[in-house]
Order: sequence, then C-alpha cells, then structure tokens
Amino acid sequence: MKKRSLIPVAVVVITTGILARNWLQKSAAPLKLEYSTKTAFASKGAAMIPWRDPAKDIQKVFPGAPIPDAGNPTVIALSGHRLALIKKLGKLDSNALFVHIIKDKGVALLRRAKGQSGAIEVVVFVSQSKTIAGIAIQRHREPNNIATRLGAPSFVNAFKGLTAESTFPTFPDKSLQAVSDVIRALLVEYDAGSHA
Amino acid sequence: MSSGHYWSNTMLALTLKNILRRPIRTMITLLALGGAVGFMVCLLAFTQTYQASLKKEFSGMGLHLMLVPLGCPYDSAAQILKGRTLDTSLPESALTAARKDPAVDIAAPVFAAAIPRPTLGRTDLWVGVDESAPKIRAWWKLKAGKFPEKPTDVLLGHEAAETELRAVDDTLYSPETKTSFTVCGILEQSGTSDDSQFFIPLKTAQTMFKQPGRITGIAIRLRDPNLIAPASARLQEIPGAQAVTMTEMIGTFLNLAGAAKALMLGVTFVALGVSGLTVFNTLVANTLERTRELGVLRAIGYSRSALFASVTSEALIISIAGTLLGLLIAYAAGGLIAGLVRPLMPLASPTTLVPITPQAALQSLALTVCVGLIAALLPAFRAATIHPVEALRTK
Repeated sequence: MKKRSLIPVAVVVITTGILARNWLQKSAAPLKLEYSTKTAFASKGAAMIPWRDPAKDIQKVFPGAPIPDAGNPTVIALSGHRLALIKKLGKLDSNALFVHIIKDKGVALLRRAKGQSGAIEVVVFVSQSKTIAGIAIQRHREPNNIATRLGAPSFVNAFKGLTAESTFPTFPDKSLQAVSDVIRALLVEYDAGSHA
Repeated sequence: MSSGHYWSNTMLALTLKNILRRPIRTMITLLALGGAVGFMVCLLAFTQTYQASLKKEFSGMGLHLMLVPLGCPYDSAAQILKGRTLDTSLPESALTAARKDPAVDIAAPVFAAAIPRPTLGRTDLWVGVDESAPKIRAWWKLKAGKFPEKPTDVLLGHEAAETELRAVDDTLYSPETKTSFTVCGILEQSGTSDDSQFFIPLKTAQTMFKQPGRITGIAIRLRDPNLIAPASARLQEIPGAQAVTMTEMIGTFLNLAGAAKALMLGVTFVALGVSGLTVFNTLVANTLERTRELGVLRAIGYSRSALFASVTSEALIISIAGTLLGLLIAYAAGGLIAGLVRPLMPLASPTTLVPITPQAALQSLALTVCVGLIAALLPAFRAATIHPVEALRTK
C-alpha cells in the first residue's frame, strides 16, 4: 500500500468506528430503558442494596471469615426459574439476585422489606449447605417496641438452620412478618439460582 | 481555462501533493492539532450549554429571589436550593412582611432540617412547607395522592418513596423525633434534590425540630420580574433577612465555572501553541525538502506571492483538516472529557454538557486557522524569497 493512501484510510476507519458506535448505542437504548425502568426492577426492594457494615455483620455469623468487596456482588440470573419462583413465592421483583460470596463459608444476600414504618434492610447469611446461618437488620425506622423485637435473639435465631423447603415462622406484627417473608424469598431465589 | 485558473490549480495540486508526500509526518501534525482542537471544542461547547441550561433551570424554577438569613447570601441560597440545612434561621415575621410587599406574588416559606444517621449511611432530609409550595415549585407533579393537608401528612419525593418502600396511606416514622406520619402523596421524579426529601407541613416541622416560629428561607415570585430591583431593596430592609436574586445566583455559579474554565482554557491554549509549533516544524521541513522544486518554480516564472500562497494554503489545509479531526475527537471522547469537567461546574446535570455546538466548532476553526497561518508565515516567507540559482545549486 502506498504511504499517501494511509491518511484517507485512517480517516475512513475512524469515521466508520464512530458512526458504528453511535448506531449501536442508539439501537440498544430502548432495550436498556425497558429493562431498567419497567421489567427488572419493578420494586426497589429487590434492587441492589448497599451492604453498610459487612465486617460487623460477618463477625457475628462467620467470625474470622474474609470480608468480601461489598461494592462488587456476584449476580445470579433468575430468568430461567421465573415461572417456578412466581409459583412458589407469588411474585418475583427482579431477574437478578445480588450475592456476596464469603469464601469457604457461604453467601450474604440483602433486600429491603416493607416494614410498618419504613423500609427494613435485611442481610441474610446462607451457609454452603444452603441453610440460613444468621440474619442481620442493617437499617430500619421502626418504633422502639418493634425495633426491640427485630433485634431480639428469639427473632434472629428463629431462622437459623432453615432451608428453602422449611416452613418459615409467622409473626403477628406486620414488620416482623415482612422480614420473615423477605428472608424466605431470598433463600428460595438463591436455592433456585445456585442450582443452575 | 484562463492562465490564472491554470496556475492556481497547478499550485493547489502541488500543495496537496506536498502534504501527502510525508503521510506519517502529516498524520502526527494532524493528531497534535486534532487533540488540542477536540479538547477546546468540548470546553467551549460545555461552557455554552452549561450557561444556557443554568439560566433555563433557574428561570424554570418560577422564583425570582430568595430571602435568607444574614450571612453569606449565596451559600445560604445554594444550601436551601440543594435542600440542606442552615445554622441560622429567619423569624416567621419575615414571611408576613414579605407577603405584604406589593411586588410579591408568592412568598413560600421553607423549613429544612437534616437528621444524619451515620451508622445507617444516610441522612433524612425533612422539609417544612405550606400550601404555597406547589405554586412556586413548578416542577412538582404528583405521581399519586395529594399535597399535605393534615399535620401528620408527609409528601415523599420519588426516590424517598422508593427507598422506604412507601405508598400512599402507608405510615412513615421518624425514630429520632418519635413522630409518625401518613404518606399523603408521592411526587414524580424531577431530577432535583426534592426527589430524596420528606415534605411535611411547616408547623409540624417547626414543632418536630423544636424551632417554633422560625424558617430557613423564603422563595419569592414577583408579580412582574421587572420589579426585582426595587422589590429586592425593600425586602432587604426586613430585619435579619437578606435578599438574593436569581440573577445574582446565576452570576455566582457562572463565576465559579468561569474560574475553572479559564484554567482549562489556559491548558488548551498551551496545547494549541504546541500544535502550532508542530505545524511550523512540518512546514519548515517541507519547505527545506522542496528547495530545488521551489527554485525551479521561480525559474519558470512563478511569482513570489504564488509561492507564499502555496505554503500558506498548505497550512490552511492542515488547519482545516486538524479542526475536522478535532471535531471527530470531541464527538467520540465528549463523554470522557465531560467526566473531567463536570466536577468543576456546580449544578451541572449529566445531560447539560453537550460536546459540540456549531458556535464552538466555528470558534475553534477560526482560532486554528489563525494559529496555522501564523505558523506558516516564516516558512512561506522563506519560500517566497528563495533565489532560483542558489536553490538549483542545492543538493
């Protein structure tokens, strides 16, 4: 190739690249919009929630375990199990389940529950045998009487050892029941997703 | 074809041939010029679109001035606009006085208080408003429910409702102040700080935060915007209060952005200067290599001005091509450059900064052509003053 033809070739290559990038972005936009605003995250409760104090929470359940990067969870796709999960749970807010892997111990799952007075953020620790190893309430805005019950050992320990097939405890209080429902949903979703 | 046309066509052909004779050298020159022009186009376009959007945003707010407590007025007004709290406050009598002013159409009080919850990684922003709030906040649109009526009503911003998983008629509790509210309405997403705030009746907010009769600021819309100067002067007389006009606010933000712009333009001009030197270097090298050719042209009758024009048109073509390459770079890397510039521009939204505008492109073209022509002066002069006999003797 003659040297003088390099300039027009370079100009054509750069222009084509820019136009192709622009065209690809435009053609992908409607799909992105649909996915982020309507389908996947119909409820914010199922969206990714910041894990506020992983070191403190892990110390309670898996003492000495390595602390995962809380800002970089693994995503498990639930789309293949959507129908089965809706049948089992009644609803599935998101096709994506965010999982924090704790090396050699298990995983941590987070979700917001609709409490009586505001959102309650729950951290659920699942062991490698897919049983609940412990739970932590990382944020809530409940009145003192409910807050005390949420933190009581009788409530926290009520979920230990449960599997996706277990019968979960029921509570007369709306906030406690919402937390129980969210813990079960997370465990069932993780059980289904990690089978794939 | 006339002899003049023939000569000019021949000179143009020679110029183009000369540019393409050393493609790598020309490419490097173009890349240096294109990089500087790309950054400059983005910077000029960002400034222009930022100024326009800031003016649009402030005028769209539907308010003409803010009445804030004594202190730094711009800081106070900016804090209130961003939904943050102030250490000082105004007496409620300031609101009564403002509403009595004949030029004032709407005076909307605001009581803002933040409850930091560091252990939970968030801060609750409670804002006390009265029935005038929806009138002055033109961007408020209800997604569901209604505006607060009862003392225990709370209106939630879009993001606040999603984060707290609240719907209309749900309860929202403030554990720190031990106050319970019923969600009366939820606002549509507005892209403002209102999205993450809890709006409650003014009296409730004052009681909740134990500051009865105090307000953080007053947003004012005038009957006629032309009355802003006398109205501002009168409102300034209210004890403990100072008036800040939106024009002053825009000026403050633009001054902040202007300082950052001056710094970045300085860097860009240095880059453009270096690019000019690259063009100069290329033209000098080209002229030196063509010494014999230029001598022949002079010997067969080409005038000094024709040779001068040949070199300057070479600079002109390189400048125009460099600008076009710069525009392509601006288009492709605009997002990246916007990411660098955005932190220096207060209140700039992600959609505010547009990498290319026709005005910025034309300004850059004009500047680059000037730089190119200045860089061409010495090589062109050398080419024009070349002696044919000495040139032909050169090996």
